[in-house]
Amino acid sequence: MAIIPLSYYLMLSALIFGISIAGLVMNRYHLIKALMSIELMLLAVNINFVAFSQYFHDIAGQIFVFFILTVAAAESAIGLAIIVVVFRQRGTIEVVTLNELRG
Amino acid sequence: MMIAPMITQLVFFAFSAVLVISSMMVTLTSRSVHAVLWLILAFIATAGLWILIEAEFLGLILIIVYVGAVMTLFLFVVMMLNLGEENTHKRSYKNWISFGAVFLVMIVALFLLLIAPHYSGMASDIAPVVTSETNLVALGLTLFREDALAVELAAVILLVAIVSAIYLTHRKHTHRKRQQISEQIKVTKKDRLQIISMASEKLIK
Repeated sequence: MAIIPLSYYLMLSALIFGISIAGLVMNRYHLIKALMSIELMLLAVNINFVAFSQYFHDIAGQIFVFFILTVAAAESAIGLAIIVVVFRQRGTIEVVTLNELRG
Repeated sequence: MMIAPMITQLVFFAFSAVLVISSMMVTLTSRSVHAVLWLILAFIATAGLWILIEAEFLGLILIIVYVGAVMTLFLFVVMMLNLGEENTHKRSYKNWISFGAVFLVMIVALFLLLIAPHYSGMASDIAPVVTSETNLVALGLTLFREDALAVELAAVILLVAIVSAIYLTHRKHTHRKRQQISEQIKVTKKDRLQIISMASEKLIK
């Protein structure tokens, strides 16, 4: 039995989204933490999707969450692979050292 | 009958407190391994919140796929790269924490104003699902009847992710001795066998 207002879920999701954007701003020199903040952002979006889906009794929102999870998993796998390659080539993943395209 | 809604709300607040605290800790801890562990806690709390509004299949999928696969991948990479403390302390988040706090307050205030209950009438409860079929059955029927093409596209996306991740991180072993089968097959008699005609030696008496 869900006796929880929809706005609770929306506020929670807004809070998580704000925290993850602030985390992305604060940790933008740290590639792995930036990736984790992006995962948290996707999680906030998914909370919104699920809450609205149950609120309107429309299963399409949960289908969307399914595909968002798929794409997020693919994205984090490729992102981590890129981080591993960068670490192998340079011995560090500091964002400041990645300036070869500066021209 | 009066006690059940209160317990549900208590469970909601407990899970959301865990979620908010752990997602703040993700951004505030200085060690990457701790950040990954806090993120796992955030995912588990979210799964609880989803199960609370009867989206139980997605909640379990979140635990299995995210905590079981993606977060393990994160943990694996963080431990494999072995980033020391000097890597994180040089450019710490602490220089930007006031900036981040202002950003957080602005974004959250914006969203909360947008979705405030007295603006858009979203204060009504999320009603329980009335259909007889379970969440899993409903999801499966929709997913494989109406969105079958999208499922296959998602499979292609995952395949591309697998191929690219393996291609990016795969290293050829140049130092290891291996059989080169194509070279072995191409060998002819001329390459290996050499017949030398030479005068026979005389016997030593």
